[in-house]
Amino acid sequence: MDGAKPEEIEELTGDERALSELLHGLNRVDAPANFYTRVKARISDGDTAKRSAWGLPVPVYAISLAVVLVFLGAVFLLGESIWGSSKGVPAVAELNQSKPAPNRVGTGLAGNQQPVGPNTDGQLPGSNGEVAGTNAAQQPMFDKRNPAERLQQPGGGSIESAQNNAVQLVPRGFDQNAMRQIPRTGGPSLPVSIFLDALGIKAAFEGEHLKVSSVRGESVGDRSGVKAGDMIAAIGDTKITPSTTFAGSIKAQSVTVIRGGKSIKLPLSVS
Amino acid sequence: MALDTTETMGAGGSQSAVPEERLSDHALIEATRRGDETAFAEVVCRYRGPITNYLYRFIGDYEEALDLSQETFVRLYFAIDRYHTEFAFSTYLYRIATNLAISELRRRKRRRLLSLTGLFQNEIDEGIDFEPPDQRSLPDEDLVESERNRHIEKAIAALPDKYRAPIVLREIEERSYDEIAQILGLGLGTTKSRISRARGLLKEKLRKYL
Repeated sequence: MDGAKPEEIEELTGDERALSELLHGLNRVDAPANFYTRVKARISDGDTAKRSAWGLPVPVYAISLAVVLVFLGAVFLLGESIWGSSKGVPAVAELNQSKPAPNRVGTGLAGNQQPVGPNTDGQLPGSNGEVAGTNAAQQPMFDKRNPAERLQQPGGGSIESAQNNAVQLVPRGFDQNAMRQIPRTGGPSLPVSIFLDALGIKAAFEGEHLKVSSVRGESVGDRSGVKAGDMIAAIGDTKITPSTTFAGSIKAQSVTVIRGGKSIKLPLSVS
Repeated sequence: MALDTTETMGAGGSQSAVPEERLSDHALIEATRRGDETAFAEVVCRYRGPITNYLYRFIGDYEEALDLSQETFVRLYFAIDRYHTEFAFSTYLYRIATNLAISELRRRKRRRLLSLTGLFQNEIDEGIDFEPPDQRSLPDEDLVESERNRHIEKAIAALPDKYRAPIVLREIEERSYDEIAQILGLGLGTTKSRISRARGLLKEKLRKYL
């Protein structure tokens, strides 16, 4: 054993030397023979305690994680089915009540008298040509892409970047769930002003012309070059008249305005 | 198994020469770090006696000393990677034991437990001897020695903690001043001062045996 004896020579008085001898004369106690066995047992207990505190077996963690994920998934799906199925109906109804389209043709929800329910045969509303609008039947009625891809507009509605640089406008509250609940006997038709609102353009008809009263800054309309005083002649290939209505969404690459007597085609720019 | 070979060894190894022992201690620690259970058993076997005796003299309770002694080696086992071989191994081990003993004594005070030691200590840790005089006549030599040892133990137990640890390490465990200073985490001057003070207190209590 190292350092068992003092190396320094210490000068002690007589009493101190006697005291030292007295203390040295004390019996030494020793540890019992099973000392190491008990130490080993305590070390093992320490290991066990550590494992129980921090080292749960991996399957326990995996099973716990799986259970939590399944639970969260079930809650999400349940909430989606309940919340999503009832979400679109009042929104569409509100649109039709508060902003009825002039000279609406194809009144899918006219008077809210027709029953609203799921489209059981799976056909898209408007696909049978009941929705008015010059090319409404050709427009996709809803987009199946991830809603997270939509660029929300502060003025309402949303703008989705579509293929071929086209811009797809979806009015606020008008979503896939709502489309599914429209009976096939009548599809929705919405005035063009609602879609323009999604572009950040405030416009109203003056006679036969749709005149822009204001353009919200940093909106798609603003970035595309639409200015107050312009006359909206067409969105995409669809000419705009007071009787023009659209189905649930519009896919367009440009908006045509009449400015200073000249027709200007402005490409829509989302970015 | 290592246990079978080491339990019978006792504490006799503590009588060997210092340099050889030190090297041997370090070699055993290195082997223990590599997972050699036999080496750890040898370390325990070599130091269980001194550590248990030191703790017994420090806290005055054999069962408690035994428990803390075992805990000392458990702590050593789990912290063996933190031991640096430039220091004496015994210093490291005694320091673990001392810290455990001090913690136990503080715990006792907090819980206001009356131990055998506490019965003979007042608030300022000065010893008061309540031992009645021995009226027996013509005791034989063994009884005299036993009685004397009991008085000595009592006098040590009555010392304040800060004096008891250094005097036990110095006079009973025969540690050097430098090593005691390292074990207790004190300066060399403070260590010597406390040992001197402890000697003075013990001389007062044990004057009749000097």
